[in-house]
Parts: sequence; structure tokens; C-alpha cells
Amino acid sequence: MSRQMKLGAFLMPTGHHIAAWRHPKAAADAGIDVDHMVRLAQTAERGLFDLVFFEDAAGVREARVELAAQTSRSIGFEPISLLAALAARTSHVGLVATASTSYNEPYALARAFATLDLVSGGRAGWNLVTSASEIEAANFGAQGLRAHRDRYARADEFAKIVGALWSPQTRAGTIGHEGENFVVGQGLGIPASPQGSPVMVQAGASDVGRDLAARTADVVFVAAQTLETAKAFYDDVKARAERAGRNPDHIKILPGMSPVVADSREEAQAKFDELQALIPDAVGLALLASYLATDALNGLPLDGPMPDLKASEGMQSRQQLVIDQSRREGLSIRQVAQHFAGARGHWRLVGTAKDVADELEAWFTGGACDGFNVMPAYFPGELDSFVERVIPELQRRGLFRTAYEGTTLRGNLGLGLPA
Amino acid sequence: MSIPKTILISGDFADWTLEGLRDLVNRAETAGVETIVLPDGIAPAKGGEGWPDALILIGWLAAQTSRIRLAGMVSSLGHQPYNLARRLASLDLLSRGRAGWLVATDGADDAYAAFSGKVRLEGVDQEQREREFATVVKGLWQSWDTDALVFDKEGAQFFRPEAMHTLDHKGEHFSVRGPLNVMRSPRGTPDLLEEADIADAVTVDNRQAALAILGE
Repeated sequence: MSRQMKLGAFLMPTGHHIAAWRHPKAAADAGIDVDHMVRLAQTAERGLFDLVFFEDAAGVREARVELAAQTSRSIGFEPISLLAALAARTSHVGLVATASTSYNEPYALARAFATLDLVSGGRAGWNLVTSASEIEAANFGAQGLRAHRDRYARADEFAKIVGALWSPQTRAGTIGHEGENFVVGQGLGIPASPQGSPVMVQAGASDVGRDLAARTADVVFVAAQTLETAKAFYDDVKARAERAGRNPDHIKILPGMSPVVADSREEAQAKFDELQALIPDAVGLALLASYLATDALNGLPLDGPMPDLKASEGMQSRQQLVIDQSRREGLSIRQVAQHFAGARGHWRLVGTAKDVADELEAWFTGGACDGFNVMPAYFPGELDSFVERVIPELQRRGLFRTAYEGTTLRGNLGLGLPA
Repeated sequence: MSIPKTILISGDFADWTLEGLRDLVNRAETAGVETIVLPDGIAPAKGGEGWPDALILIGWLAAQTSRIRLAGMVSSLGHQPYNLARRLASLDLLSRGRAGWLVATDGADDAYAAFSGKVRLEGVDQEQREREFATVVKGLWQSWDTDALVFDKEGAQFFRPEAMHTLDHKGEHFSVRGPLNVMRSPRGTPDLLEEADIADAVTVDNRQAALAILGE
């Protein structure tokens, strides 16, 4: 059988578009309605997605309350506990949650995910992130942010410990880890799931982030807007994995893609325009400023060009993406804000199922990725659209499965059992 | 035989298994038991058997029950108050008001060894830390007023700004600004149980013993 795409469904309560909750057909109360979240996961499973994925932040992302109050992003379920509930209501789809190495303990985190892996029968995955926001730091008594490299040194040690705690060899024995940040004595002493250990996911695209991913990740999420940048990232991470002594096929690279799909291009564009019109100026601008980790946009005319920004300690790689794009296309601040508000720096496709499938096929067969992390603009509508229109189109082309290969996440991703 | 109000799960996880645990919780709910308390025993410091994470088990069990209260006996040592307050609030929301936390104090030496005690907890007054921990957790659970969310699509108002509250806790062990990013459940907050609240609990070490208690 020819190579097939791996697909993630990146779930959020109301949608990836910042104004999604205001859409007439969006479920605005999704962040307090567990039944809604169950339906989304079941829809993803009906579409044979490899996994559902949740991002995470340990704090209300927007510190300015008047702005926060205009979006739905301030509240939601804590992802790992939510996935435990979803595990009971699904049977095949992978369950991946984000958790930060900056504000957790490796033993506690390894144990939470190992338990999720157990109750889901081998479908759990952990997306390792390091925390860059002052907003999260303020909830953990931290004095400002550690430098980028320090965050990754802690993450590196953290990932090693979690790997040892999940390993079939050391699971029930002792770990005996004594490092700079952590001292962990014993193994978890709880049974392993049928997939052996949870899947490791990463999304950091900086140089140190890529190295860590190449050494430890099974799945890598990435934000890329063009086939060329995606391919450059793909080749680089696969090469790094090979240099680290790994089989490059065992690291699946999935760029984010935010689809808006309809029967005609005009309808799809109208749907997207409807969402864009719902973005309050202040909200779009704040979203952009927080991605750039800058306050340099304050007071600048919205119709003027982007200022020349210095790289910050926060999100280095995404910031570069935003700046590159605005320069390339000569966009105004408002245009950049609106552009990124829709998909948050990820790739956006607005069109028919055939249009979307054509683009996905071009990236996939062009050696730019192993599949995609699908980021529907609003829920449940755009996830339903993707499952009902795009998935069958991909299946007709032989690019996507017509039945799950197995019941574990590793099995469906084609990763094999951990060593 | 009368049905106990509270059943405290104990013993080795190997004597329970996941399916056995779920079956027991379902039967207990049917029989009218009010509360199940799950242990959160981490593996002993010298290695050996541990229990799965109690709060993750609660999330899984909550999706398969509808009335019974599910509490975890969890030590604060391996956690940060923001994370634990958040996970419990999330469980309370997804169980529709059935989540509880019983602060565990036994097994402190094992927890110390598992959670980098040498790095984080050396010389720390653990009782004092625990008291402050609970204060922060309770405070964070008051982050949102019950009627905070308005979902006004036309007016672009998701919540009322005055109904969200920061905590701004600055103490000996923790400094936490808040607010929590989980909305409170309609009933208010998760239950914070004390030993006295489960004084009449019946402890069972395995599924057979539990079934006997339920008269099966």
C-alpha cells in the first residue's frame, strides 16, 4: 500500500478563528459543555483521524480583562482530565494533550499521561512545550522568564526522566535520576498500556527545539505557510533524527492547516469573510502582539506598516514567520493582525473539498510533511465539513485510510512499540 | 446490611484492575453509595507497585457515571496549587459537580523522593506549605462568579469583566496571580474533604470485599 497521511484534529472549544465563538452556528458555551467536546472527539473518530489534540496554557492568556472578555479563550477544560473523560466515550482516536515542562514535575506528569494511556487502552500522547508567557509565570511564583536555552535545558532533563518513567524496563524499578533540576528515585509502578508508552509530541521550531524533537519526538507539529518552508523544516528535522541514530520514518511531521470548506469557492470565501468581519480590531491586534511577545505595536496606526522588531525571548520561530510574511507582502498592521487572527500563523485553506485535497496532496507528495494537524475555523461546523467533504476526497485518492489499522495511537501512526 | 455512604478504595491496584474498578463504581452508584474515594498512592521510594493517578481515573469514571461523588486522596507535594486547582475544577465541570479532593498526608517520604524533594522541598515546613497550598486552591476556585459568562455574540461580550477575579496571593511558599482558566461548575466548587468527612467510610482492599459490602 502506498504511503498515507496522518491526520490530527486540533480541537478547541469554539474554534481556531479568534472570532469563532461569535459565529451564528458556533457553540459559544463549548468551554463548559463536556457533551460538546465528546461530540467533537467522536466526529474526529468518525473521520478516522489519528488523534485529537489540545493545546494548553496555565493561565488566562490575555491579561487585559476588557480584551479577554471579547473572546472565548479565557476558559476551557484542563486537557488531561478532559481527555480522560473522552477516553471513555471513544475507542480508536488518539488523545494528545499539551503540558509544560516549565511548571510541572516530571513524575506527576509522566504518571498522569501513563494513567490516560491505561484508561484509553493505549491512545495517549504528550505534547511537550516549554512556557514562554509572563502570564503563566505569574501563577507559579516565578520571577520573570528563564532564558530560552535554560527553558530547554530543563525540558531536556524533564523529557529524559519521563522517558525513563515510561520505559518498560525501568517502569517498575528505580530511576535514580539526580540532575540539575530534578531528583527522581523510583519508577511509576503502574502497568503499561498496549502501546507500551504514550506518544511524544513536540512543536518547538527553534534550533534547540528541533534538536530536542529530533531526539525524542514521535510526532512534530509545525507552523508553515508555504510548501518550501515546510519542506525545509521537514528535511532538517528528519536529517537531525537520522544523525541522532533514529529511523526518520518514526518521526511524523504534521504542519498545522486551518480549513474553511464549502461546495463552491465563493461560498467558502463568504464563510471566511463572515468570520473575519467578526474580529474586533482590539482583539486581532492583541493576538498579534502576544504572538510577537511585543508591546511595540501599541499606539501605531493600524493602517501603517509593521515596525522593525527585535527577536524576543518568547516565541522565536513564530515571530520570524510573522515578520517575514508582513515584509514579503507589504501588509499593514491591521492586515497582519487579521491575517494571523484567522489561523494564528498556521497555513489557511479556503475553498472546495477538491481545492483543499489538491493542496494537501501537493504538500504530502512533495515531501513537505507526513500529514496535517487540522485546525477547523469554528466548531462543530468546520470539523463536520472536513470529515464529510475532505476526508472522502482524500480516501478516493488513496491518500488516507478507510479504516483504523489498530486501536493504539502508535499502531495507527505506524510507529511500532517503543524500544 | 446497610450500604455505606462512603467507600474508600485501598490495597494494590493489581487486585482491582481498571475494569474491576469501573464495575465497582457503577454498582456502588446503583446501590446508593454517595462517595467513592480513590487512593493516589505513588510507588514506594524503593520501587514497586503504585496506583494510577487518582484525578485522571476520576475523569474517566465521571464519564461513565452520573450521580456518585468521586474524590481523590492526593498529596500536595508533587503539585503546584494552580495546576491542582485547575484539574479539580475541570473534573467538577465535566462530572457536573461530583469532584472532590481529600488532602493526603501519608506516604510523604515516598512523595518527597518522587517529586524532587531534595531540590524543591529541603528545609520546607511541609504542614505549613500544605495549609498555604489549600488556601491558594480554594482562592482560585473563586476566580469566576457563577453568572460570569454571557455569550453575547452580537455585542462581542463573552464574559462580564467584573465577574472575573484575580487572586494575587503572595505567601511564604507560593505566589499566584490567577485567575483560574476553568469556569466554575454550576454547583460552585469541588469539595475539599477532610479526614472527619470520611470518618464513617468503609475501606475495601479489593473488588470482592467491595462487592460483599454492597451485599452482592
